[in-house]
Amino acid sequence: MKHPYNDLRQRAFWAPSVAQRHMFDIDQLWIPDFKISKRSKIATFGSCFAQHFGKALVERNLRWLNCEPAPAGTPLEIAAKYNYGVFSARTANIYTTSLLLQWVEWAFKVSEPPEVFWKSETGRFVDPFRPTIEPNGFSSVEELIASRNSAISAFRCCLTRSDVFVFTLGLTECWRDRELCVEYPLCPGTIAGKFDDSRHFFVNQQYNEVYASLTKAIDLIREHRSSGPHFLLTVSPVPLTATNSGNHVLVATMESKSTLRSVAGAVARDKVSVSYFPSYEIINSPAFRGVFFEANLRSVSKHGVNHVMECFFKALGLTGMIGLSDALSKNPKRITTRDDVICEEELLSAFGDET
Amino acid sequence: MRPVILTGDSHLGALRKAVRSGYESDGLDSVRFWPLGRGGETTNQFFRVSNDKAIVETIVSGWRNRVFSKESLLIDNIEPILILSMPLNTSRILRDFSWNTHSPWAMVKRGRSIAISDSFLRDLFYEDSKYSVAFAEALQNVCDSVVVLEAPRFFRSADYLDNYPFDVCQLIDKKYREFVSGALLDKGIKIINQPKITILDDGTTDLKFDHPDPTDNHHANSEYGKIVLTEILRFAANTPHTHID
Repeated sequence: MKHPYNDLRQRAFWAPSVAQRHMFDIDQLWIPDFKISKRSKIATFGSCFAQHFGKALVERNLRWLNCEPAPAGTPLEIAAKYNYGVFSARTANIYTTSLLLQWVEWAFKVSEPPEVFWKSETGRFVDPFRPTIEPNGFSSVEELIASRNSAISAFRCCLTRSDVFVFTLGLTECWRDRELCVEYPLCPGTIAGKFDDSRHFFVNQQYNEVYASLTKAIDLIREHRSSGPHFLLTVSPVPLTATNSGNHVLVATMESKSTLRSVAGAVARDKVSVSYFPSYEIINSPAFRGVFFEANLRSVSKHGVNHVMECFFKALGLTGMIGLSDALSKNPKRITTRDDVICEEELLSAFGDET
Repeated sequence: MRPVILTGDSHLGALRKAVRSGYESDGLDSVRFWPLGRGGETTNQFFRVSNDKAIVETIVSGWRNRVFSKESLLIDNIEPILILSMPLNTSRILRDFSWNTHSPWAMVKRGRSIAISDSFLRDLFYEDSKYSVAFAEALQNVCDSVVVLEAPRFFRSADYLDNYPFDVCQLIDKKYREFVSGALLDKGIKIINQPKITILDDGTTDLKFDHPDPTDNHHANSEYGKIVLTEILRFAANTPHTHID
């Protein structure tokens, strides 16, 4: 009997492509909608899981766009301490699509960030939009604003220069300020600042709002370019740390992730040059038996991250490039500079063979 | 006058050349030079200390390594003043970082450079100077008078100024010296500052003290060395003796 299922490829059927395979042989989860090559400039932003993308791109010598690097010469430990090299600009985590839209609007001056700041327990100034960006906070409001402005400029650079913009959707739950009409990445009072229930309020965004913010952000970015960028959407597989929804955190996690997953899939269908990459499914699907979670059933293990990135690069035909990570994870050996030679010459000319 | 041992990096060259060029002064014959090696090696662990802290030894391949102990330092049974040319040197912090793309936050021009925080800058300073400050501190266990000699400020002819904004370099130089001076003074280590008459209003070293080799815009000349030696000898003359019987 002839019917549409006759013509479908094997990947459309559970038995041959999932049940009858070892989990690590499950492949063709993603077929790229657009070409990503070694020359593509790729910007990465989003929730915690997005950090892995940037690192993986660097390890494989792809062109990860970093518009706000640490000064050249900075030791790796110091750069990491100050959150350089985590995302393509020092925006800190962008958990929701509405927060993404907020940053995009700041970048293109559709709106300006308010000059709001929080104070830490030690009296230092904390940027409410990037609360953990500096390990010790800032010494003054002026310093905080200067740093934030640099991040906004760098973010704009990423929006206008990237060939591929990777965004990892993380949360639907968020905290907003009704007085300033802004959204914060963290609830005021948790890391710094003071919670004020007369102005701070909780929102658990529903499908329509998440969808609208994401599409508006994409459109706004593309309005400011003659072409591009491609968008690659992923959903963070990391469960919620806590929920203010009133539900059990496991239930709240499922609802949030379901909403985000639905939106990401819909936007990828509805918009040209937007693709969804299934990192969420790779980590969370029962087919993978939860092996990629750490003991807390929340953190994704290094093996999980590696497997996700392997699937990504395999789909792009960019495998076989790992092994650079060791070299890149160490501070480069100090090379002899011209000034070193000059110093040697000065010592020789002054002291010769004196001991 | 108490004898003096001058030890440390290549900035001792100007002082040695001053002596060779005929500089004379009371007390000069009690000055000894113990050059170690190029300052670029001081960003790694370049010395070791014995368990009882009685011996400090430099261990860099290519250096004129020395063992510092109470015994090895004695000159005619007198404990010298140990003057170290090392921690207060801004050449690496000015040369080795991209000040063409980054600025201290207060100096950033919007869209032209990336703002870096004071805290980040201090961490860079600490990382650059930690071993040489620790070296000075370790030497305090083998000598009761350890003094740091400030290296000359950068010259206007420094080649990194072709690419880096002068005002940014000025500020970084100033902040680095403040940071490291503070760290040394916290440990009770005195400093012989660069003589004021060698510094211009813009905070650079007067070009008349620039090294005669035009390819060397980092070291000072023997005329500079003479002025600094005068300061050192004045300091030594005012420092009480410690005579070992």
